[in-house]
Amino acid sequence: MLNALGKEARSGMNSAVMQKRIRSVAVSVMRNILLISIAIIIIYPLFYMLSMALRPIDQVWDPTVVWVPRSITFDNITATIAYMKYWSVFWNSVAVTFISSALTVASCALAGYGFARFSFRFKELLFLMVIFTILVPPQTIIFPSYLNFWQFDFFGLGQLFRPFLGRPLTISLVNTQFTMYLPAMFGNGIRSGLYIYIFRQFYRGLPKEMEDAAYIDGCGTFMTFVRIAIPNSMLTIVTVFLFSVVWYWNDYYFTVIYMNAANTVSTALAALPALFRGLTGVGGDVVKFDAIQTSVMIQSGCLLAITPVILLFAVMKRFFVQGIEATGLVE
Amino acid sequence: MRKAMTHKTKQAWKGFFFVFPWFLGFLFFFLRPFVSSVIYSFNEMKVTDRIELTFVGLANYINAFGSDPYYFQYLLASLSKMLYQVPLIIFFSLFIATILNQRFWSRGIYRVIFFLPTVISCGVVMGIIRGDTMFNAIQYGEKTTYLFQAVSLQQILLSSNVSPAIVNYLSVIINSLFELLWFSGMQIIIFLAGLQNIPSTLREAATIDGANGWDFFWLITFPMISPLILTNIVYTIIATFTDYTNPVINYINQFAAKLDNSFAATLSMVYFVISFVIIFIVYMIMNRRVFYRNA
Repeated sequence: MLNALGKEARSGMNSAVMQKRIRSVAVSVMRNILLISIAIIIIYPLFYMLSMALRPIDQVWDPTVVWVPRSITFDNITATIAYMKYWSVFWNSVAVTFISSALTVASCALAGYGFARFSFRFKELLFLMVIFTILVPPQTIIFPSYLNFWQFDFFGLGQLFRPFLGRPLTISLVNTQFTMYLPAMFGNGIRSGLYIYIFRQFYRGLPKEMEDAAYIDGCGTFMTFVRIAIPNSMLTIVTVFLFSVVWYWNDYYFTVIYMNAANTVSTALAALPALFRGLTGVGGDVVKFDAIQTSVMIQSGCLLAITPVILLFAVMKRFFVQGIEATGLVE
Repeated sequence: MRKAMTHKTKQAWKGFFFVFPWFLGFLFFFLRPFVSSVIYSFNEMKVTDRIELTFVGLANYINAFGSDPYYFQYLLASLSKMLYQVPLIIFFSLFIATILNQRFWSRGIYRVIFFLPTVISCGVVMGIIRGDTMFNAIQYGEKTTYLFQAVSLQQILLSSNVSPAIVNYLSVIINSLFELLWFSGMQIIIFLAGLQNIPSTLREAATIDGANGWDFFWLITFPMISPLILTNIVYTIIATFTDYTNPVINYINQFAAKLDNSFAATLSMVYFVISFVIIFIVYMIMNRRVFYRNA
């Protein structure tokens, strides 16, 4: 009898284990169905891009080819590279993006450290101003900013020349990359307010003991920042740098207004459709691409534009979550 | 004899040294244009070879609401868009982040896919993907936006006597599913980082006390990430307000393109003040209900 009881108990336990296992399988199936269906919506346009860009033009019309082309060609992509002047705009974009991002990280880390570690008069007010710069849409100040660069007076110093020249000494920075570098250098580049906020949150959470030890050892304030604070905030620095790279790479609004020409990947891509409509062919006759060809070319252009950021993202992806986690933004 | 600086003044100077580059940039690249914009909004501007301003007082502001036929409508449209989008994006991104925080073998792949919008959605490519007005005008191509239209679902629901208002709301959601997904990338990252920051000891303690997954989510996870909900709400409001497909932003750009910069400045000032007030109200309401771990 005792034996029978034991058996019953064991089989009862087995069925509980079975139930649990069935439930976990069901949960996993449900989860995957849900995630796959949402992932399809995100992947769809990218897959569409790839599928259009890699198929020969005649297969665009072909009703038997829906997703996977029967043969793969790089003709569309090579043609688009030529039309976009891809390599020249690519290196231009790389320069603008990386220099601006590096300057942004440097200026924002400095400011964030200043706001987190020192107390000075009007600190709260100034920090409120940082938040203010995040909230004001760029459209509000774009026209006067443009004038600012068009008649750049060296932070007001040019006004000092008024008695001698009869007008302030100004130079035009419009159409130069300085329109991107200068604001970045002074902590007012694209999304800089957000980065200052992130750095301040991080440095506030960083224990002060090591910096105090450095002070006692005779290290100056700035050297303490360089030797102690920066190495300890590498993860945050890389994260902010990556986000900044993404924003500068994708920027169209500022680039097209300040630099006024199709000289980064984003602006070249945006100019592509207009280019295809009015393209002048050999012998001066206007070659108009038909809708399908234009569409294929534009999809190839999109592919060319996002591939570098996606590659960067794939290599550095762990920083996108871990970095945010480390910043203290989430505490 | 020169008096030695006190520790406090020294600190203040050092602090100011760190903040100074930003401050200079703020004065020159932000405050100066901002003040100019405010001045423009009270003036009539003529752009010839130079800029001529004539003071008109509040006339631009009165025009914006009185005689301009579209501005008020666009404001309402963008406000209502924000009202339905923000809760949906917050709910959706929290949901996805909770799932992505679980341990299962394919998690890595899904994370990559769900973060992709973060690196793409802010660019020109997104405009082309969505086939929005700005690019539609110069492009003949595809309109992916309409891929997910809920026409047949609408018919089914209407024929089964569901009230048209609800059907409309549902179909708006489904039609903009694409947009919602693509604009949740950053929010998912922030939520996920927050979820990973919840100490595992809390889960153990809750399990010992007999909490199941549901209890744990509402009693532990939700309060722990409530500050992030506030952060994400503010982030989403700013994102929807400054998105260039926003009708008001488009309308402002139209005037800027016509070089009617004083009116464009007026419209953007009004818009900015409204968004500022909304964010302030949301912050004030939410901030009291948020649970802060360190407080």
